[in-house]
Amino acid sequence: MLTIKGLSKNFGSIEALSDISFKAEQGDIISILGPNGAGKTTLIRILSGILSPSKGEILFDGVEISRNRVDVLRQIGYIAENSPMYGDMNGYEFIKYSAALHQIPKPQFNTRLEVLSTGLELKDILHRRISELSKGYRHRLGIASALIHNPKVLIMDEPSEGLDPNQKHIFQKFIKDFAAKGIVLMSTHILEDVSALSSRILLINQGKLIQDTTSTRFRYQMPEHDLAAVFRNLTLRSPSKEK
Amino acid sequence: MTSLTTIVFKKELQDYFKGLMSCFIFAVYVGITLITTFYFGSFLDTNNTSLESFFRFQPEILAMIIPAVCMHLWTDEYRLGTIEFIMSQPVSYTSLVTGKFFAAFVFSLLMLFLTLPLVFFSSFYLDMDGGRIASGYLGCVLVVLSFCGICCAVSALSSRPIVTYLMSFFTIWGLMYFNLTPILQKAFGLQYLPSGSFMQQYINFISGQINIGSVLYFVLLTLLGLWINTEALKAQRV
Repeated sequence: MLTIKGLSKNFGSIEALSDISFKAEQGDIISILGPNGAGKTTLIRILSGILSPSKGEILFDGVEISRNRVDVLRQIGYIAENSPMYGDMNGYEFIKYSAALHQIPKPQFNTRLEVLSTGLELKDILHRRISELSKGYRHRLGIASALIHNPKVLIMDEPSEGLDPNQKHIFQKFIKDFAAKGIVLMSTHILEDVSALSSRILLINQGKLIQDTTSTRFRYQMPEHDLAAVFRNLTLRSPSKEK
Repeated sequence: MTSLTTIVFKKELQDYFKGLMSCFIFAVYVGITLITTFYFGSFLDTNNTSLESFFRFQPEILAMIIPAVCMHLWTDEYRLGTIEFIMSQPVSYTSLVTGKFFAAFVFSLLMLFLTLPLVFFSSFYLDMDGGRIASGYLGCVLVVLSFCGICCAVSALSSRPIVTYLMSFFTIWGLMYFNLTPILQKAFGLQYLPSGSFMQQYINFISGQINIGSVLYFVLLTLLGLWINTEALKAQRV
């Protein structure tokens, strides 16, 4: 279980996140929604160990991430926005490097690679240089490298940005399969993904968590049951008014 | 080295040999070394049994080359955005820093290795002073070690390769001529460090004097660089 307690982050005098608390359990697909600059990426980066919080705690199965960074990161798979990778490696080398950093034994690596390359339809491009791959393939390669160690939590920043409908379909199917045995947290502003995937929605505005609800309840806040209308309605109001 | 350090080390060392960059760096280093040794050092006109003409210019040459060897180490991670990938992996900062540092150090040693034919061919014509040559090479290895440590640290401070190169270059030149010994003595509480600047410590080696204090001087500079590098990475999280 992932528990976030009173998480705040300041960059100098700017408060990027303020007192964020929530819990996530196995089977949850949580979308972190919010307008640009709301603090979604900051939250994702803190959860994936890239940034440290100014205040608050992140507990994974009761273990605090800042005190046991390396141990907790073994349980987390992270896909950054635009899937940054080493362009001069090929897909196989990149996934292998990621597996090596997670100290995955070779037989387990081969099995996982087979599962992931089949599920994400990567077999044909595994030995091509990353710099020659399209955005969709790079993205799926990023998912494969994030899942090679079979993590319990998958964290993604803007995961389906720039994917065509076929690639989106593969991606969504894969995420649903993964969520059956893990936790998925994704930051997005693509409402189509939210409605197709999410079991829960965290809405952040100006660094504050203004809603933590199921996707159905979120949708039914407006008479037309339209996600976009609810999103606009909530984010155009100030967080203080929401309370 | 821990296994994770070894993984990072292997990846970084392989990166040096992708493309022609390594050949270019080797060629520039050997070219400048030959010019300084034979032209400025008048190698053929003097009785170079200890290869003094070769060793005399090495710190200045390495001060130009090592920043180029190290500049991509962290700078490229920032530039390509892969810093997010590497920082989200279950690897300690120490493993990341030492893995990259050792890759740069081993690459630089290979570069230094290319100068051995000079010793080999000179030995046909001259009665070489093996002890002083070994001591000179030890001095060069220690210079490479400390320069790599410092340049790794500087490369963690910028995302622009050219800025990294220039910052490393000027930092090294500053260190070469600024007497750091009193600061190191104070910082580490080591009163037995021999007095003298970086260049004076190096000159001890090319004169055939190996003293443990001078070795410690270069090792401390390296450790200082690696510590700054680790702290710079930790600061990224704040």
